[in-house]
Amino acid sequence: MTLSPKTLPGIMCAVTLALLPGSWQYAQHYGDLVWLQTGLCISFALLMESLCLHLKRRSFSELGNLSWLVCGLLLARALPLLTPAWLLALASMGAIMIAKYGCGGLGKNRLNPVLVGLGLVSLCFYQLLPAGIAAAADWTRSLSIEQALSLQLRFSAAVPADMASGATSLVTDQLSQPMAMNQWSGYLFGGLALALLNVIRLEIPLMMLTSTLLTGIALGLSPQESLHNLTMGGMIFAAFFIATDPVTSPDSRIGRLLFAATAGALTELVRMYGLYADGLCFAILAANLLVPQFDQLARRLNQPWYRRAGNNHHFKPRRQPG
Amino acid sequence: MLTVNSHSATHKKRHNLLPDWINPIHKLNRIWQGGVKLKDWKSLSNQTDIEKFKQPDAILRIPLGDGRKMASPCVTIGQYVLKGEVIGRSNQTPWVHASTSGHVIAIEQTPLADRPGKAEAVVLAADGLDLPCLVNAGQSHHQPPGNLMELASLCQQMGLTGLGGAGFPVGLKLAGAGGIDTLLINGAECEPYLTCDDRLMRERAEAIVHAGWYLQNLLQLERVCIGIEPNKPAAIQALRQAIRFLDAPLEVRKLPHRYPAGGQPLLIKSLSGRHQAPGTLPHEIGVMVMNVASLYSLGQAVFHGLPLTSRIVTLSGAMEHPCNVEVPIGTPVSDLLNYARPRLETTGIQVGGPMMGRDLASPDAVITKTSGALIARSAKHLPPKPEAQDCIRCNRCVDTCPMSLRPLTLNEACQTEDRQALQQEQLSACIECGACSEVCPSHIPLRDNFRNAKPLLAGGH
Ligand code: SF4
Ligand code: SF4
Repeated sequence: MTLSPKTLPGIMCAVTLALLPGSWQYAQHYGDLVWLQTGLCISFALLMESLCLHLKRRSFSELGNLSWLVCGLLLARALPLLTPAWLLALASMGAIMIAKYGCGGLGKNRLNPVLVGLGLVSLCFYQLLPAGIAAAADWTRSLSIEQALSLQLRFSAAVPADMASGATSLVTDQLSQPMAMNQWSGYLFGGLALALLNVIRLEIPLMMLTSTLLTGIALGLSPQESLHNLTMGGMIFAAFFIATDPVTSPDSRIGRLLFAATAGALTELVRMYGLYADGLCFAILAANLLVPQFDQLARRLNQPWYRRAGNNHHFKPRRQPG
Repeated sequence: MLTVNSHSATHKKRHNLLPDWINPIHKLNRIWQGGVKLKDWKSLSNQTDIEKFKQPDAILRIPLGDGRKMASPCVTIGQYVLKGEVIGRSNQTPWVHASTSGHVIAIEQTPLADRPGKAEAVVLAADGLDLPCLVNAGQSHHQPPGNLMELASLCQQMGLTGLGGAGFPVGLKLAGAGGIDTLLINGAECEPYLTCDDRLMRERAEAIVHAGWYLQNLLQLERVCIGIEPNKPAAIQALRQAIRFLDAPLEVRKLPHRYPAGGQPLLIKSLSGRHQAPGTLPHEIGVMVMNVASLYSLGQAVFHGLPLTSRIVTLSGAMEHPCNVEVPIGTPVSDLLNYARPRLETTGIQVGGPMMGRDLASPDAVITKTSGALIARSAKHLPPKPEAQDCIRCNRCVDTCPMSLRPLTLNEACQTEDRQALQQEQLSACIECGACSEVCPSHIPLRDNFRNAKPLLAGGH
């Protein structure tokens, strides 16, 4: 028996549940404003999805597949905390309206919607995004929901500059120190659970982490630094939850390995030489674009079993008896 | 006789090192990748012996072929025929025999249970005596045929077709099998619900082994191997006992317990390690595959001179009396349903297995040589599939396809009817097993789309 959820909403629920441990850890660290941002993002995603369905004259019962829930949740985790609410809405629009429905709907997009939303916001309004909040920022925990909400409703982020440091957002992190275990183990746990349920393919995160590690070493980091690199920013989160999006990753195992290796290496390259502090977003988007090429290559490299000879040489045709 | 087994090295037993639910790792240890585990529902109908279906006043409509190639009738209306008497002859297709004794009352078109469309049939009013005709086809068979060509023509005259589903004439198959060295006997019965082969193997193991041994000697085969899914321990034991008892050089092997373990290329791969490329025939790689039921009927024809006039049909699903019955060919489906009594909640009847079968088109349809089962659908048994949604590219179909196809891209090509893309995605390799449709979380009817698109490939040049 496979434990895998067998229906579309089932899969989406599984992803949602798998994101909870990581989110909970995150909230432990930064306080209730994590849940506030989550709630905002999910509502925006629901809104956008309904709007798109309405515009495309499709039935609202399609909301039942819950893909908007996962999209909103992922957006909330990918954008930095205390992002202004209008930017959250813009990101949801980029994700759902442009990336998903612009390409024809669920399953037809080539670029990961979450990353498109994130990339849109961070390319256009980099200045308005809050820099990641310092890991030791106690003050966020003391914020009440109302205070946090009032911060988020401003036009631009209002975080004192000296409080900034690495959180899990994928673009603005400052990669000074590796994060403590308790900031990424939840994502790791959730990701492994999803892999066991056969919702995501384990080879993608494994290959991506390996490739980042090796690229780091090749670029002259010590193995330890390189290992630390893996825990920085949203690496674990992105490797397990974003890069594994089956819609935007290749169809075959070899293709997926190539895809993940590319994404991992690009991440490290952007981190070392790029303009942005963390290149996860752009690395994965670039790899997304190459998916058809990876697929084609994989097909050429890996012939189906019946094209290979197997034991056929055991048979030596002889003359027919009788 | 050759007894050297050059294949033993390739048949090291594979142990499953890890529990099934560790899915990604577990897959590395498999003979063939893909497939699905299905709830098998076999115990509904495999608990009791095969029953004889007797209906003294039946009106049988015996089809003269499968609707494509037909035999021509050689009886006249009003003629009295005995059970086993030839009623349809042809040079190419298997002959057709009366399934019971009685008067021919008409020759007309009839719908078939497991195929679309109608076929010409001889309508027979049974007299209830079931008198057998002792001398068939104008010759007596005290001696089994001593060479392949004789056997092939005997099979044609005895009306033998494959009973597994495709219905390929056994005579034709044998005629092409001169140079082979391996006979694989398909006792997989990997579809849920079906138990007719299971019961046959349990109850008539010796006859099956006997027939297999006969073929081995006749064709000078190196190896005769019976493949059975491990969910039929009683059948495996019965066959092993029969082999030991007769001291026959056959072997019984367990197949992987995944649907479609009995699909021809996969059966060949797991039992012989050879790879049958799509579009080629098994005898090109030295193998012949035969279903257990076909082999049994071959034995009946060779040793007892009995033509194929009945088949075992599984009646299962939401029925009051699920069982296996031996039914004369040409029996109307409605008679069988009266016998097994579908429950009130029944919503429809599936003919054949739940995966490869089809909906019963008309209650007047008759049992043919290839209709293996009638399954009553209900909310519990074979519930209707929810409406198809968008493909989310979850890749489960890719993982599941035993032929390493990519059903999701194949499906896109089917929708655009792009012949080049269909060729590139190797539609011809699809064995229409339906495993991909089964796992699709969006309930896309992938297999049906592929089935419908196959004529597209054949069209054009
Ligand atoms: S299983 Fe269904 S939803 Fe998943 S990739 Fe295949 S066709 Fe698409
Ligand atoms: S029906 Fe065809 S495509 Fe689908 S799993 Fe079977 S062989 Fe593969």
